Amino acid sequence: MIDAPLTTRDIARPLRARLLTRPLVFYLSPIAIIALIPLLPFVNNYIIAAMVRALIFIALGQAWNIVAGIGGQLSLGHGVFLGLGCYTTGILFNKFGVPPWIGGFAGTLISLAVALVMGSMTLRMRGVFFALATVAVSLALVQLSRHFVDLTGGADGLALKFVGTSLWAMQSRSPTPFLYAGLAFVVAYYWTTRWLLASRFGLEMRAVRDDEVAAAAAGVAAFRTKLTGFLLSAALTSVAAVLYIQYYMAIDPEAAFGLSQAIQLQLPALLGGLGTALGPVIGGALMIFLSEITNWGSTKIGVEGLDILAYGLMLLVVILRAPKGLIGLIVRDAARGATK
Amino acid sequence: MAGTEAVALLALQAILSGILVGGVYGILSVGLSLAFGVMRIVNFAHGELVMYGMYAGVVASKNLSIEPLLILPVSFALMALIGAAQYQIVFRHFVGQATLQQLLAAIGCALVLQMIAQLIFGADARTASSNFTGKYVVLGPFFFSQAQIVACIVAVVATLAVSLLLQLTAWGKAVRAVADDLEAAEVVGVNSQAINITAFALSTGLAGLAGTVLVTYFPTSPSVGFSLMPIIIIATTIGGLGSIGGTFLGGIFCGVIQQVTAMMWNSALQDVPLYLLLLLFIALRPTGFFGLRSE
Amino acid sequence: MSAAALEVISISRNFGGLIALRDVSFKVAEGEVMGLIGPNGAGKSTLFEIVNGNLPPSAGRVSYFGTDCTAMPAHLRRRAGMCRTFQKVRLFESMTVTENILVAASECLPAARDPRDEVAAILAQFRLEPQAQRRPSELTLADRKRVEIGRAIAGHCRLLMLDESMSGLTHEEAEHLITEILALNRSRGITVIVVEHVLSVLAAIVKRLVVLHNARVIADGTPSEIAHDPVVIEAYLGTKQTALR
Repeated sequence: MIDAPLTTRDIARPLRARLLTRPLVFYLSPIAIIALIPLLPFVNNYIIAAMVRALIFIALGQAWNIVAGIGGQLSLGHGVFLGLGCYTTGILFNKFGVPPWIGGFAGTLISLAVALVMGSMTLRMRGVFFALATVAVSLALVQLSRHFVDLTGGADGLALKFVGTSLWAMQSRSPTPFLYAGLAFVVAYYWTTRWLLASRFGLEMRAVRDDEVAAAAAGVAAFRTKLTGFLLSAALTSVAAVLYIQYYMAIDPEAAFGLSQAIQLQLPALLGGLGTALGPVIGGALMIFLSEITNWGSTKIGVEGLDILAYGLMLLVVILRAPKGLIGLIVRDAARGATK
Repeated sequence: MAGTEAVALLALQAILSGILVGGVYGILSVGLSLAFGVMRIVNFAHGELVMYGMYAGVVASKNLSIEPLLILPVSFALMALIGAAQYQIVFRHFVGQATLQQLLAAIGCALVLQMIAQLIFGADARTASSNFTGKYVVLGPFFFSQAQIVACIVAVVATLAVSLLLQLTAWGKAVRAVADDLEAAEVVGVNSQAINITAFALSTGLAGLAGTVLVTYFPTSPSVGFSLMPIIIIATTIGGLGSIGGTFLGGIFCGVIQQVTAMMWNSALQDVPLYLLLLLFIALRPTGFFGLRSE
Repeated sequence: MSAAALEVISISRNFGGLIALRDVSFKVAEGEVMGLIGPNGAGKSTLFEIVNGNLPPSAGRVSYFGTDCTAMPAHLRRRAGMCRTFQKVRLFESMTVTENILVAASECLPAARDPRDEVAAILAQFRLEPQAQRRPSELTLADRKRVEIGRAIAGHCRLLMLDESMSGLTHEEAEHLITEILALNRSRGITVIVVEHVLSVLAAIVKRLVVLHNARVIADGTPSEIAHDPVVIEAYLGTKQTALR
C-alpha cells in the first residue's frame, strides 16, 4: 500500500527523457555511417543512387505511416499527395521558372486543400469508405493528368528542364547531394514520428485508431483528430515529393497517382512495423534490398515484375503471420504505438 | 433542328451502348457484392480473378482455337477453385469485418496474382476473338457490337441464375441467412464455414466468367484488374454492397455514365464522372440505393 | 430545487418502421443512484446511446444539469462530465493502463491542472498502481472494468452511466465493483445510472428504478415498489419476482 500518491515524475518522464531513451551515439552512428559512405573508395554512383532511392522511398513511407500507422486510417491512394507535389513543383518550374523551394510550398498548400476536402467528406464514416475514396481520387487524377496534356505533358508526363548543378534549382549532376537531402528527410521524419508518438496529439490519434467510439467517450474529438492527422500526413508526403521529382527529374501520371505506386509507398511501414518510428526505415531498407535481389534475378530469367511479386508475398506473410511487422518480431514488447 | 436531333441520337446510342457495357460491369460486380454481403470481405483482388478469366478466353481463342464462349463453364470452375484456395489461405482469417488487415491482405493477393500473370503471359495487351468479335448489328440509326450484346446476355443470365440460386435453393437460403444475421443462422444449424467458402468460390467464379466474355471485346493485360476495380467498386457502392440486383443495376448505371461521357464529351475522361459520383455517394450515402444494412 | 442531473424529455426513436423508443421521460436528481432495467429489446441500449450523444433521437430532448444537450456531440458531453462505460469493455489495446487513463485526463481536466497528477490519483484510488505499465490484454476482466471506470471518471465527472458492467464477473468481483461505485457516489457526489438486466445486482445498490419495456417506461419507483408492480411482473413473465427480493 502506498501512502503518498504517485507524482508526475513516476508516471512519465519529461518529454526530452521520453524521446531520448538511448545514449545519443545510438542515434548518431547510423547517420554518420550513411553520411560518410560516399567518401569510401569503392563506392560508385550506382550504389549511391540505390541509397537515394531507398531514402526517398523510406521518407514517403514515413509520411504515410503517420495517417495509417498512428492514425489508423488506411489512405490507399496516398499517391495523390505525391503526385500533386511533384506536378506542382514541376509545372511551376518548367513553365514559370519558379524554384522548387517555392514550388514545393505551393504543392503542399494544394495537397492540404485536397486533403481537407477529401477528409471532410469521408472521415466521418467507416474506414473502408475512406480507403475507397482515396483510390477514387487518385485514379481520377491519373485520367485528368493524362488528359490535360498542355499542362501536365499527358501520358508521357513531364521532365524538368535541366539547368546544371544548382542549389537554387535543387538540381545536381551527381546523386550525392540527394543522398544527404534524403538522409535529412528520413532523420527529420523519424524524429517527427517519435515526437508525435510522445505527444498529446499522438495519444489522441492512437486512441481514435484503437477505438473511435471509446475515444469519444473519453473526450477526444475523433473527427478533428482524424482530419488533422490526415492533413499532416498529406503535407509531409507533398514535401517529400519535392525530393522525389528533383532527384528523378521527371514524373508521369502512373508514377504520380497510380495505384501500384501508392501501394508500394505503404509497404515500408507495413513490413517494418506500422505505427512505429523505426518501422518504415527498416521496412524500406528491406524492400530496396529485396528489389535489388529480384532485379538481379529478373535479368537472369529475363522477366520483369519479380520485385512486385516479392512485395506481394511479403505483405501476405506479414499480415498473416507478423501483423506488427519486423519490429514486432524483433522487439518482444513491441514498440510504443504498434497496432493490434 | 438537325443539330439537336443528331445530339439526341448520339445520346441515345451512348445510353444503349452503356446499358450493354453496363450489364457486363454488373456481373463483374455482383461477385464482389456477394462476398461483402455474406462475409464482409472487400476482395480487392476481385479484378485479378476477372483478369485470369480474360486470359482463359485468350488461351482458348488464340492457343487452342476454341470459341471462348464455350469455355465459360471452365472459366467459372477454374476461378471458383482459385477463389476457394484464396479464401482458405488468406481471407478465412478476416471474415466478419472489413478491417485494414483484410484490405491489406487482399492487396497482397492482388499483387501476387498480378505478377504471376505477368510472368506467365507477359506484360503486353492481348485480345480474344469469339464468333461475334468485330461484328456489328445495325438497328435503324444505331449500331451495336455483337460481342457486347452476347456478353450482356451472358451477364443477365448469370445474374438471374445467381438470384434464383439465392432465392430458391436451400443453399441460397442459408447464404442469405448468414448474410442477414450470422449468429441466428448458426443457432439454426447453418455451417457458416461451408457457406463462406462456397459463396466466395461463387463470387470468384462469376468474376472469371465475366472476364471471359469481356475479353471478346476488351483487351486484357496483367494490370487490367486494377483498372477495372474502380468501376466494380463504384457499381457495388452505388448499387448497395450486398444486394445482387442493386449491384447489377449499379453496373448498368456505371456503363451508361461512362459511355455517355465517352461519346458526348471525351473518351479519355470517361471514368472521371464515376469517380466523382463515388466520392459524393461515400460522403452522403455509403450504403447505396439498395444496401442491406445501415453501415 | 436545483436542476436535475439528467432529464430525458419525451425521447422517441425509430429505425425505419421499427419503434425503439416511444415518448420516454424521466428525471435523475443529482447524487442519485438510479437503475434502468428492462428485458432485452426494451430499448435500454438505444436510450443509453441517445443520452450519451452517439445516436440522435427522432424526437425529444436531453437536458444535462439544466442545459439542453440534445445536439451536443459525444465527446463534448464527456468533457462536461457525462461519463460512460461500455457493455463489452472497450479499452485502448495498444496503450498501457496509464495511457488509457491519460487520454481522458488530458481531454477532460480544467486547464490549470496536470493530467499526470490526475492519472496518479486515479491509479491510487482504484489500486491499479501495480498494473500501471501493463496493457489491457494482460489484465483480468475485473481489472479491465476498473480501468474503464477509472478512465470514465478521469478529469471531470458529474454523471456516470454504467452499461451492464457486472456481466462476466464473479459474484465476489461484482460486489467489489459495486462497493467502489458506491464510494464514488458518496465521496465525489457523482450521479450514477446503472443499466442492467441482472436485477439482483441492482436491488443492492439503487434507490430508484426505471423500467423500460417495448419502447416505453412502464414503471418508475423504488425497488420494492417495482417488485410489487403487476405491470412489471407481467413484463418479466413473473420469473424475476424472486430476483427482485
